[in-house]
Amino acid sequence: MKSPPQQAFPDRVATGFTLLELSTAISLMLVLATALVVIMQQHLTFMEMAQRQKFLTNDAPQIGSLLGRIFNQADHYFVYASHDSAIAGDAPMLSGGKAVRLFFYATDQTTKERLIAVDSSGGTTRLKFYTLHLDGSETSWVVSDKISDATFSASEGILAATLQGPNGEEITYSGGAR
Amino acid sequence: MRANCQPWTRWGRKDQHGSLLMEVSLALGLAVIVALIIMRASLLAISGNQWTMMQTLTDAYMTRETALSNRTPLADVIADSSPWPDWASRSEQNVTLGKMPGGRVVQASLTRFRINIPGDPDSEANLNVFRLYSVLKYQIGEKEYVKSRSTLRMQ
Repeated sequence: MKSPPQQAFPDRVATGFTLLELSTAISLMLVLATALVVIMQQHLTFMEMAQRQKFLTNDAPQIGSLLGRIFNQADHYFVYASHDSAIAGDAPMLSGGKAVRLFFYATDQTTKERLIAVDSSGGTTRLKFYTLHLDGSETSWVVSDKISDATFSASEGILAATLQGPNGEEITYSGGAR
Repeated sequence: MRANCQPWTRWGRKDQHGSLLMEVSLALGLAVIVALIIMRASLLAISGNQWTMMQTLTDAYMTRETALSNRTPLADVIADSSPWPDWASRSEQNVTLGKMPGGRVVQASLTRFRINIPGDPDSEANLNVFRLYSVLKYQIGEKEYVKSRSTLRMQ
């Protein structure tokens, strides 16, 4: 007569799990893993949203503060279609310009000239500040490389810079009412 | 036999089977709690950004108001069709502040008015003083906010 194993090996301890227990445990772990993936995706979505908002929360206020101080110290200004047309002294325009030529009265009774222009060379759009020297050369520094475009306008007696961000943002800073 | 003398030891291993389920359930519960905490933190961060972006847009718009109030000729300021009329003649107008990420246009309500402080004929300077106010009303979520700038002009 065939005996059951536990009778054949009475000292043997049952150490295994039943199929039902294993299936339940694996299912719960799968649910847990799915939940973790969802949490990660949600976190990434929020990170992406925060990144998309970075232009208006971080970059634009810095650019605006800088442009405001520069504009408000300028005595007079002219808006041009581009950096090159500003250098060449072409006819200025009232709106839609990509460069603005700023004139500052210095304490030694001379007039100093500066230029702010949009530079789109090399696949990156930057807002640059140029210092024009007497020998015709120029030096520059980057105001911001976080913009996708910028335009200048001179209407109602004030100078305005409209900045466009990388995600469709648009913001306008004004000044130059001195 | 030992197994027969101590049956709880004999089946002790079997008693631990349920603990795996308990552990997994506990882990699942903890994961849900962590997810909720992270979601709340993220939502708070994003809602704070919304407030900051609106501050950026309204501050930028106010640079225009400040520049215009300084630049507009005084003859225009005190004219009948003044951009900054008397308090009694003030009116609201909708203005565009800019665009949010994604290109959504943001609008607000602007009210301009001026307060006249007439000069004193007996004083030596006899200055007519005008304070030009620009008041911007805008909404963030359910709440309405007001931001104002004023400029002093005199003749």
